[in-house]
Amino acid sequence: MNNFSEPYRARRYLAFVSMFGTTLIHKRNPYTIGCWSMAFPGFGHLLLNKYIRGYLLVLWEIFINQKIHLNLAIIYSFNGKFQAARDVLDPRFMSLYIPVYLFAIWDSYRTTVDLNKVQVLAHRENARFSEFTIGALEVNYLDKRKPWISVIWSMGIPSIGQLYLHRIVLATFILLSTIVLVYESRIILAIHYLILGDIGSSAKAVDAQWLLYFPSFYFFSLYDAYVSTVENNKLFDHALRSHLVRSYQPPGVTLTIGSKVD
Amino acid sequence: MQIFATFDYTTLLEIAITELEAHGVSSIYAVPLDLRKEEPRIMDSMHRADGMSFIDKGMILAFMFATVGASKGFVWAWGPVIWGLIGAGTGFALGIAINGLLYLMTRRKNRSALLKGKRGDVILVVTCHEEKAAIVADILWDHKALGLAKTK
Repeated sequence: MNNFSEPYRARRYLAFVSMFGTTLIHKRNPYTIGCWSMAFPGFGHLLLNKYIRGYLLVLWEIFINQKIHLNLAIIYSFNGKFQAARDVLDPRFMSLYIPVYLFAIWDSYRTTVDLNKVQVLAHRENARFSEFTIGALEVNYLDKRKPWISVIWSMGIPSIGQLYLHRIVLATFILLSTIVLVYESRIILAIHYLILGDIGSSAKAVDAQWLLYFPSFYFFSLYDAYVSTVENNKLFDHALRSHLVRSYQPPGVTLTIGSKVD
Repeated sequence: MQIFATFDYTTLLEIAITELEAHGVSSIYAVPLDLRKEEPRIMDSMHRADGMSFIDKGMILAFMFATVGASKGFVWAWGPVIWGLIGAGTGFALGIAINGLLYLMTRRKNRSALLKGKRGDVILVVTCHEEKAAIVADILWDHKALGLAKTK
């Protein structure tokens, strides 16, 4: 879609409404973003709407973690079995893990600081951006949605909250990852045994290495759905407000305040 | 005759405006308000983030505690799933509690500034002839005006 067709492009835009989702810049706390990168490299970038970087880092994390069995080592370490942790870690790839992990945290932190500055400038410039897209495959527009609804949907299966927000590409990525994680970790099977009251089988059913991806993955999808809904709503308010100021404040209007009548 | 109405930011507001224009009412003046900043402080962080710090501590602590809980669960009696869930719940509750405490501490300073009830985001001023005032008022009410007054 030809969203930015003005003869003189603005320097910065607050948002981009495309067929596959609404990308936007808003102020964020760099520490929060850094913490999410600590939880899972790539999540910080996904929260910043820097999707390609995010996908690459997430895929890398899963690949390298599977190679060196880091999750198993974490489990052994938390349980005080330090020799088992030493044994399970595969030294062949181990040193590759650390630089990318630290890079993800550092890069998402500094990008947040930068984007916060960009946000200030874009907000002051207040350039018009296209608020509506229609094409062969999709319609996308700014809208008000309820943050808790998107969280509750995401609690069902991670990715539905993102779908509710029309973040098609992120929703697809999260959905596919969820399928792989659920399949490999056998968590649904464990929950099934749990509901039947068979705790022993439940604990044996899960694959420890794959299960440990789940907590950060799950809560990330809830958090992202909530925050993105709030920010999409704010973007809607901002766009409508700008429209009203542009179109419904003609010069020369005088208000003659009389007395109130029925 | 002038009609004042307050609205939230909704698509209905734009529909109301275009409907008034379709009825030949052309003098429409909109005043988007700056809302007072004190109220949403609970949603703000020190970087004035974005209505999100209410849950950010909770979510981060939830994943941390869930990871540790799931790991310990491989040894503890109830297994990884239950301990993971317990960890998640504890972490989230802890985060919310920390935020609640911070909120109470900051609120004490400006308790009088709290806003209650519905707020209006926009004041709409419509100028029209007296015979049209009833239609204009109906249109505005039908599109979820929060409050409305006519003056003359």
